[in-house]
Amino acid sequence: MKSLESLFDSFVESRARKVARRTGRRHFLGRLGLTLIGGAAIPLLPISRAAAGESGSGARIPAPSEKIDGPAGDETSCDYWRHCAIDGSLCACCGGSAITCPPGTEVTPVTWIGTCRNPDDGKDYLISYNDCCGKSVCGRCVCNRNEGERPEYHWVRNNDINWCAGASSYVYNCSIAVVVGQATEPQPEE
Amino acid sequence: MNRSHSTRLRRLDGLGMVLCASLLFGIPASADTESLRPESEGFLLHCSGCHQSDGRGTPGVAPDLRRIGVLLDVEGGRDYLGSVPGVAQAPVGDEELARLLNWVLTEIAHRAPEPAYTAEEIHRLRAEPLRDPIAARKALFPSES
Repeated sequence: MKSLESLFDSFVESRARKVARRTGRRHFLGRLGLTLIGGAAIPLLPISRAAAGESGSGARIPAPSEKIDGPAGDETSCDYWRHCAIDGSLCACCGGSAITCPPGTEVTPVTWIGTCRNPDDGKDYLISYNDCCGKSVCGRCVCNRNEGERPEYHWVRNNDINWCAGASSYVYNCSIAVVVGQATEPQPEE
Repeated sequence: MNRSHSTRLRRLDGLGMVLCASLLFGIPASADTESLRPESEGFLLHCSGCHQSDGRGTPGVAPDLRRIGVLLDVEGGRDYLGSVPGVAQAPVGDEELARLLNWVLTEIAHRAPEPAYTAEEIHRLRAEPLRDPIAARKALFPSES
């Protein structure tokens, strides 16, 4: 019995020494600190703020299917399904993506909301067309689609407005198309 | 669709100009057909672009909807809520607008209007949208001026 305990002690001791040799406390604390600081910094990044509407900020948003072949599934294309009411440079061509602003730009908090139909699942989704501001106009992948857009006097549903008016910089760079919810009805003005 | 030339790049001179124009000229109430979409969806579609998805608003652009319940406590405040441009000119029918305003007051401001707004009341209020909502609000709360 004693020899069994001794054998067990030896095994545990050898494993503990092996682990201690490979992973020092400083190494562990360093990695832990990096994880904590890195995790805290993620919400500060523009990608996180822009994508918040897709994944967080309270309401749970159903993820639309993106398994779409051709231009309707290509976020650098004007025919991308979310771009049905966009007007401007596509951020996916400007260093960002369909849902994130390019580095060095600021996503405007005010925007207009349209509705686009996803060709893969046939459902309609509410799309927030936020402008990215603070750097001169990107100019690439200019796209002007106006499904459901209203005249300028209905400014809350108009895409000709420089929505950077709600940001700290008035300078327009490009536009993103963030899914903010599922729609039970298509564009009311179709 | 005209991809060769974006109206975006011609640029209106911004939100303020359009807002001022709509206030000055008093765009008539919408004659849109009624929708059966849930109020939460209508809020996202018609209101959240400026007021944010939780109604907290955007400083300098759109007021905090969580605090509009106080308007129900002052004389004229109920009418004010139905005739401010953002409400009166929303591109929805009277019935849907009444449901939407009741929902915002109940769910965002946590102050259900009593009685609830009706389509008839909304129709009357939005027929004469406020030309100067800032002055009208100051008149409702003179001590804040």
